Amino acid sequence: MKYLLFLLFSFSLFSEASAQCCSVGSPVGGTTSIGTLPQNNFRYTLFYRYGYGNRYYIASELVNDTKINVKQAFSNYVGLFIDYGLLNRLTITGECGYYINKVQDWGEKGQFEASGLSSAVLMGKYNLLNDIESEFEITAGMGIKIPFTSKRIQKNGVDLPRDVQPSPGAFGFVSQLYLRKGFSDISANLFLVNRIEINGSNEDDLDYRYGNCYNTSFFITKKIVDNLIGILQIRNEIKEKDRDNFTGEISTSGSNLFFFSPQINYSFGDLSVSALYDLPVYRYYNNRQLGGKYSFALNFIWQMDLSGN
Amino acid sequence: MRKYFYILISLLVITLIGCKKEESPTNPKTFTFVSLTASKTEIDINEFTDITATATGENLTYRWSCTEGAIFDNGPKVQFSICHATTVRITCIVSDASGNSESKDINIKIGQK
Repeated sequence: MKYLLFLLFSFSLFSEASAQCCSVGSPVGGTTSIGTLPQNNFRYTLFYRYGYGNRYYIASELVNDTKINVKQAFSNYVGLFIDYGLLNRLTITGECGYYINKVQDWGEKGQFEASGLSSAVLMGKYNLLNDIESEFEITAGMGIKIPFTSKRIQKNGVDLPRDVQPSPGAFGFVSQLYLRKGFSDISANLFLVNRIEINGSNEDDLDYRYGNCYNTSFFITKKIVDNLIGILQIRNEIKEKDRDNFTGEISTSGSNLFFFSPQINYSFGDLSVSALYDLPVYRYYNNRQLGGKYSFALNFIWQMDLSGN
Repeated sequence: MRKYFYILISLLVITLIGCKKEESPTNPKTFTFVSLTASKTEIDINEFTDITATATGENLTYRWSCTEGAIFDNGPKVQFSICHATTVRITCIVSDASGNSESKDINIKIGQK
């Protein structure tokens, strides 16, 4: 059963809330913490993610244009989740993230680079149903997204492009729904996770508002050997168009993406480590956008039981 | 008496000339944001256009921003480019050491060949 505890918290739901025409997206939701904890249990999840993209797309078609200025874009991101089991059915979660760097490379013209804190999310998750006999579980959560800054980063008096800004700069609302069906006789589990992020407007002079994100993931997990679990994930990310008060809808924002993400998870004692690779299998971008080529992530999870049981 | 009259007239002329010089917009010590211009106000995607802020004053600083796209370089002359068709507003705020500040916008239309 212990391996399942770790599993519940080590899946990834990458949110593209900050993706725009020339960036590879940002894990505002990051690797998400999805289940509840027993009362008086703490869980720390530290994760790292690297994302890379170097090809433009119009809708689903690759653009073959040698005049493209942005040669590549990549980001290094670390995130931290802290979960606390307030009650046996109620867990509170704090999320925050930091961009080590977020880079847009324009070849000979140079590159734009920024780093900084992204957003924080405070969320409460309640276990609506946990039928041990049928191994069926439903957990729902909701919370608020809090920006660390609403100001754009500038260098030498010039605002850096929005694509490399680490923070969306606006408050938002987050909801999450998590369903699990277990098959203990074959040491397997099915998961369905849905996460919605409603973004508010930035307080800058443009009232910039990132499009809402709707992420849905389907996971299959299978115990391979003791402490080692294999996970296959299919994930859909729908992102609406961004808006501002000058352009209206930003035509080169918003997308519908499907990913295939294999993952392995190894646990020892109170620690668990997992690694995953994110491979896009279907993409549709509005207008013309830089598409993510791949990303990978490493998660470290540590759980503490303070209940004395 | 006539001597004092000529001295008074001379002082008046000198004072007037001096005042006129200080009020002139061409005097570099007077803060004036004269213009914000672009070498091209219509460009193709991935093409560059030069944006120039012309201002007078002491210890001028330039703050640039745009609604979309990217601005290169800094100071009174920058370059702008973007990867998709749209219309972009570029804003420049010029300030001097005395706290004077003025903002100007210019719109750049980006088309697709």
